[in-house]
Amino acid sequence: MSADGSPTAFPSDIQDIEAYRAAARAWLAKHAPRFTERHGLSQPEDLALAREYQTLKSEAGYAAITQPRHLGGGGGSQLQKVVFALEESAYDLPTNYFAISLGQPIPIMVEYATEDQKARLAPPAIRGETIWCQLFSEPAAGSDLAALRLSARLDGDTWVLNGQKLWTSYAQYSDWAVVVARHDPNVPKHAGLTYFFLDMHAPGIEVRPIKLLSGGSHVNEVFFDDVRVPDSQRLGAIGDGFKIAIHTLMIERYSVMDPWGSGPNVQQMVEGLKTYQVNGRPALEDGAVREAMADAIINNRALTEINRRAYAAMASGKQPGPEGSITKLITAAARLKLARTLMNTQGPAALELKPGAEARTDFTLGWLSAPPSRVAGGTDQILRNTIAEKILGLPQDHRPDKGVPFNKIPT
Amino acid sequence: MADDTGDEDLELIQEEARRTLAGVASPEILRGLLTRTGEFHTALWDTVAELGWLGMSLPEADGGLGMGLAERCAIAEEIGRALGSAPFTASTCAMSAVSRFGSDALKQALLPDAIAGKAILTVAAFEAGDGGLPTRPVTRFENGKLTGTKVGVSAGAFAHHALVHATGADGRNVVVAVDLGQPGVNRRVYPDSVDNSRGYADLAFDGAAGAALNGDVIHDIADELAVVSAFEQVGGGSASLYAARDYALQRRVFGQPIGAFQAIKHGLADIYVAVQVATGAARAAVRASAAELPAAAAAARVAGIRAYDLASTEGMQVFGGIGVTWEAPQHLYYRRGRCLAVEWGGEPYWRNRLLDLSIEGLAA
Repeated sequence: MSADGSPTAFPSDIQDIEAYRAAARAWLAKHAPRFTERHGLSQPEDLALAREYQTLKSEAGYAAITQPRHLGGGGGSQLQKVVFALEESAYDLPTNYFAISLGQPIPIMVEYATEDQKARLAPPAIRGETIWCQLFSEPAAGSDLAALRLSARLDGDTWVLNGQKLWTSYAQYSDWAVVVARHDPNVPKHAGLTYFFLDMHAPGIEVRPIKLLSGGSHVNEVFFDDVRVPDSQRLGAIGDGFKIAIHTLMIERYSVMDPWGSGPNVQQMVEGLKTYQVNGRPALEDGAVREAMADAIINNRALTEINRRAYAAMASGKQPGPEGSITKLITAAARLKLARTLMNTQGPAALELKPGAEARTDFTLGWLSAPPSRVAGGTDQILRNTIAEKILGLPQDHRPDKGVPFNKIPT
Repeated sequence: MADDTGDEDLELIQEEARRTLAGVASPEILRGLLTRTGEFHTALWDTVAELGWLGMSLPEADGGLGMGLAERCAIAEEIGRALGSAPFTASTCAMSAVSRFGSDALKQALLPDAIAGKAILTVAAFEAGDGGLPTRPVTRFENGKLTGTKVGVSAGAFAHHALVHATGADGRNVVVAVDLGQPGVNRRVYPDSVDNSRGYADLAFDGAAGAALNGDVIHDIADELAVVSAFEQVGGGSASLYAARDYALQRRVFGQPIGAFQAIKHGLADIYVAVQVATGAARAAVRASAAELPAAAAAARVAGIRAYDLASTEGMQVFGGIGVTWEAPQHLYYRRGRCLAVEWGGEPYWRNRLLDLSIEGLAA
């Protein structure tokens, strides 16, 4: 044991990043394979397997790598986190349930909650025993988050929440949540928001999964009917809700993104098309097919280099350049276009939806699951606005609701 | 920046180049060159030579500074940004080929003058009826003599030597160094072209004497041209983007700067994305291993072509009426972008090459 009581030989003690990578790779090679056999598991079985993997990671120092060790985290750097995630992405592991939980709510809670709250709530989340979700978007507040309407009324030392949230990922499995609510509709929209964490098992909360167009249901509607939240669970000052919400969203700025945009890689494209013909010629000789494939290859090469430079910047203690912000914008749109082109080539047989298909190798499922990625985590339009305003320095859009009390904004 | 992480020397070279070029090159100079035939920006060429940029990536044994491709690409990016009108990419890529694949006699004959800027080198690869590198050139090299015609040779109007893509006596491809001052060479300079400062000319060879480089190396040369010109495209595309951005901040309609309208903002954001993709692909090509270079170069070239085309076309649109005149600089990017897009082989050629290499790489 080291001086502070934590186990010695923690991976984050390895200062050289390539040595850290090698250690992570060896650990994964030993432990990851048994968690990749997920085909045919029921949802509860998959989640149980996911929890088991998460616990193992936490014991090895690979869970919540940037969180302090006394809370069960890895006590490591942002770069170590990115490197481990890259190595981990080589396996098909059930990490999705904890991606949001440990990506945003836990770090923000650790930043703003009391020592006692952190000590009580962070360790079980990092071990995978509990899951946290992020209650931000609403039916009338997506891109315009500050327009949210969930109301928070103070009753003694308890807040009473009423209204609805929408698009909440993994809410159906969650035990805790962070939430932004409107405590005062009489002031301009950004000023009237306050940030809390709450127990998802509290009376008055109802979670209803939403079926997405590909058939999956990881997102939910969450309804609030007089849900009581103690004031001790407020994070930050009253009225600081928007600031803390933006802080929350900025935490995962440099998360690992797949440079194939979760679409097929070139090998999978070729596999999928090599037996097909168009006009008596091999489909792989068709100009439109080749153009779409070339786009994917070029984007992949460019994004791989952009990622490499971002990691190199982090490794030398610098801020990565702003160009990383193009990743989602180009991959989401390109993946949709590519899937459509590949389907076109396969002809009417491509219209069958096959059970157990995966989006990377089944172009039809790829097409069906592509549109949500153009919306989630910032629509293509909002991302263009962000590039235009934050990188190119162009003026903000005209906002008629600026400075207007929230309850005076025309609806 | 060709690389702003870890290599501060490279950063310094690029910043120095940017400052120097800002004082030498300008849109005004290119505008003047457009109205004349067979001229380029000699003051810029002299500066490039004096600063040692022409020989910077050649080995010291060949009289160079022993730097890498990354340094030369950093200069190319800045020349592209400044709309520099001198045959840096053509001449340095030809010099690199002579250094790598030429005999000692050929190196002795060509490199000292080329490094000093007294001789201009270029590559003559393309033929009539083919938008890309000819698979089997009609131009033939037999018994030390070259016969055939190369079209649209960049810097062909003022180059002293060309490396010519030809079919050898044994039926295999060969690259031949030819002195363009000899009687067997007929140079037809394009009287007018999209960008006259590029010095386009058809070169007809009628028994011209030449010296073959060692091996079938046309793809090595073309790949390097693709990478270096991709940086020129990145620089030019970026300059075109920021010129349009500046105008969008200044020009007001309907009571606000046009840059406040999403139609303009999103168009400029799309250009930014294309330029970043081109930058990433170009940097990846500089870092590529020898085995990976052909595919990486093709990807860099296609991305560079698209970025500069988009930046110059949509950048011009931001300017409205003034953008389509000789008053504004936008037509200079529009012209230069298109020249760079076509002069080293068009997008269909490079896109199909990328695909062939990628699919072939899988089969292997």
